[in-house]
Amino acid sequence: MWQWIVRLYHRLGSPKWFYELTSKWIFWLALLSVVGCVVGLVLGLLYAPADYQQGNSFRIIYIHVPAALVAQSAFIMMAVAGAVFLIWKMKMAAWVARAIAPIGASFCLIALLTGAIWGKPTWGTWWVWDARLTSMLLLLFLYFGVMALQRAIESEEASHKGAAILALVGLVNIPIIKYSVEWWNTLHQPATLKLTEKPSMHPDMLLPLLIMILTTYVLFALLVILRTRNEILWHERKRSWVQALPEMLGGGR
Amino acid sequence: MEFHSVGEFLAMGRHGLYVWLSYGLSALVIIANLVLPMWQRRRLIREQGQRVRRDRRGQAAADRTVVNEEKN
Repeated sequence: MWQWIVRLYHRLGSPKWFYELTSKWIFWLALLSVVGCVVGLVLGLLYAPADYQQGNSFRIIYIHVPAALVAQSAFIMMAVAGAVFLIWKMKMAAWVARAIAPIGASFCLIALLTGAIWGKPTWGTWWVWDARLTSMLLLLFLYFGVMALQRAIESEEASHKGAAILALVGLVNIPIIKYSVEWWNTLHQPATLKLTEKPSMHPDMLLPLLIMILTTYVLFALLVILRTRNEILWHERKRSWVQALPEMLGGGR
Repeated sequence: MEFHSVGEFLAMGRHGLYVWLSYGLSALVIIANLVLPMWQRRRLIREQGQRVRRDRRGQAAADRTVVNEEKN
């Protein structure tokens, strides 16, 4: 078991292995994203019953909650990748962290935008400075900070290190986001889904939400793979295996 | 089916603006996240591919002649 983990680790550290493996995955991840999105949104927008309090505005949940979950998970993954880079100097980890940052920031932005739009008909206001919204806005700024550090040009090694440290420090914000609705008085409703409890949602409302959450993770994986492959192509451009790729030899686009 | 007509579906019971604005903005952000790395990949391949082909031409001019003759 341990040896298997060590072998997987070494493979993951190999840009060539990652590049070749993922070239077969892109199509399937894209297909899964499209199918999941169509099924989830048809069920969520057309078949789920309207909320008895919020009416149809509750349908925003099908992007808001998945985006917010992925934005937080992405930050954790980015910090873990940063730690792997700091501890073992694995370059691939730094490239993955660099790929994740703008994608996580995008999902964070989606969560904030849809939250504000949802807040207007539900609370009567676009924005309040309460714990959940503020900590989520802080997450977006943390993403921006990490991205700025990753793109500081002077020394790539140093900028990756700085970004990894900021990501690790920023992890403190994740439990704050999660528990903000319990620790402080807030307009934001408590978590819709809890792993330890039976969901309070009607199954017809719940199923599309679960589909959309899974689909958003699949889409996230696809986006991270696309960007990581670009990082690999750029950093390994002088390596013979990249130069021997059919797309480089004029075979592809 | 919760809605009885397309108009009713689009109206979302007075909440149409909020629902469709949410979905529209999200779609824009996601499309940008798909398109940008695809453009970047094309640019990388175009620029690096040119460099690779130039290098190969310089190094193996003789081989190229043979290949060209075979093509012709």
